[in-house]
Amino acid sequence: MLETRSLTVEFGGVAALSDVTFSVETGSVVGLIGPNGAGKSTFIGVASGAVLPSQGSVTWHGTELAGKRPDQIARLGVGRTFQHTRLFPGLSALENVMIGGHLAGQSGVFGAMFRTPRWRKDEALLRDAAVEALEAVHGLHLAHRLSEDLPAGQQRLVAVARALVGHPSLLFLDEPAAGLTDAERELLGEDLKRYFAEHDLTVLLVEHNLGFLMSLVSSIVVFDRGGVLAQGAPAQIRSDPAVIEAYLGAGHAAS
Amino acid sequence: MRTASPPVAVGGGPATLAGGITPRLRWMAAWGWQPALLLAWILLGTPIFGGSDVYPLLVLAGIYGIAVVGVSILAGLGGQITLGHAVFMAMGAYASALSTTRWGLSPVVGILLGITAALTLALLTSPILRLRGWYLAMATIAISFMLQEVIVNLKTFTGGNNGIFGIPPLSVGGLEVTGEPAYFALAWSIVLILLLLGRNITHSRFGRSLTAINKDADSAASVGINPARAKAVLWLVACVPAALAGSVFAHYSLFIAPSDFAFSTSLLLFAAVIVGGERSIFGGLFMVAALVAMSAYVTETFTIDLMEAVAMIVVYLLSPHGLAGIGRALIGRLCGTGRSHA
Repeated sequence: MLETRSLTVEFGGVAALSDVTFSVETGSVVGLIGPNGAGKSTFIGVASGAVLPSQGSVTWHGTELAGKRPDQIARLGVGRTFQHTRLFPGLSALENVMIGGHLAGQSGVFGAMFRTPRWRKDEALLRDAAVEALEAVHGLHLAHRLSEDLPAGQQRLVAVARALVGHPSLLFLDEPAAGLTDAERELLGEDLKRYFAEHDLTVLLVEHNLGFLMSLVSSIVVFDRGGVLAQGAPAQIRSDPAVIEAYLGAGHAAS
Repeated sequence: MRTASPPVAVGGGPATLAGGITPRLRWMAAWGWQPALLLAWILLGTPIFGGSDVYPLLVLAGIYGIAVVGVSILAGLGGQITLGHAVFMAMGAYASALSTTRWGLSPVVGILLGITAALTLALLTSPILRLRGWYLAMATIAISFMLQEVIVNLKTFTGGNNGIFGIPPLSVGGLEVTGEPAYFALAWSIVLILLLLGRNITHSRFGRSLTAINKDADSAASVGINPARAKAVLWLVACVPAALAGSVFAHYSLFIAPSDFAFSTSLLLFAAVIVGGERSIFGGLFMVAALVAMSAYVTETFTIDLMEAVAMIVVYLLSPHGLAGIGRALIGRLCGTGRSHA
């Protein structure tokens, strides 16, 4: 279980998150929504080691995540994507995804220099895993394109594949469908749904497109101004007056 | 305009996932020409330039080239700005000089001692890699000047500003390496081997993790790469070629002084890599040969430092990816693929 207790994050006296407490059941896919500046990305930042909390804790299966280095957290089986994609330029999409599988590899600098059997095995393993991850998001045709040459939507797909390739047990997806066309978004939704069904993982999904979000999640947490406004099943959230006022708007509730 | 390109040597690697008609042939065309050209240079350099004014400088360029491979991986691939790499050359040179002139050891032992000394210095100085960008650059400059002071001040040990004379030529089990053609062949052969090893590093898990740290450290850490550890390993790896270069330099010139490893030498190594192109070891090697060879035509007004500066400005105005970037853009334009860099 992912448990967040009294989490407070302050940036120079301004609280980005204040006294946030909620939990995510193991194996569930949970949506995290809220207006811009509600603290969604800040929360993912704390849980993935990019942001240091002022107070409180975020634990995954009882292990404290808050305050650890990002690479230490990744070693615990926690993967993430970024709101601003952040692929590695100069490398192909495939190589970007192969970097995502870093922890599955073992070969070091000597293996690389002298192309040892272990290095070959490693490289084949990383390549196969990357191909599989790209296939899972219908992105294999992008494999040999330079990441910076890809349109924004396709960069998103590669970023998602980069997060999936390491087979995380806990996955943070920060707006994976932003910048995608309607058709691309629909396809990604189907791909993720299938992937989540086939793999044993817990997901926290931040997304502004509610149709996309609702099709994937079993429950939703709503943030507003750095605090938890509501948590519950999608239908419950849709009809919550406080949520409607703060975020969804009356028009959305009617539809 | 950038357009889709055929699946050949994607991202600079021998990636042949999609196969193609003759992936091996394509791979050779994309990657075999550099070692082939270097081999031709080793064989033809002496017949063409032997005996000319520029020849000794081409030998020297080969010796600097050995160090350039390390700097290329450190600064080009890993993005760690180093303006003090000549300190590791000094480690190799002084270890070789002292071993052979004072301690009666064989040159091979001297080379090994030099590498050990360089690795020790790298280990001691590895905390500076916490610094980023220009702060790291300043720290490496500081180390360069510190070591310079230490060498000059340890007069009884290093000979101070007078340096160490009478270093014997390199010899391995009775086989002595003497004369410029021998050092030309030796230095450039080491360069060839290191080029191949260095390119292997580039296209590996370790190499990709370096690129990742260089381009986006937070993103790299999010997939489990420990930037501090990877940078420390990189620092150690990059000092070894420089130590070897220092040892060969000592045996070639038979005399070393602190000024041989001063800041200007570090700057030459760095400038070659940056002007040559950050992701191209070969580009750095070409540039160091060009810069060192040009110093044959140095005049009082048109000095080597001036040439370095002019080369840097001109190349950078043409392409941010250095000489290699200009080359790729030209090839791209000729082939009509429009790929600006791969």
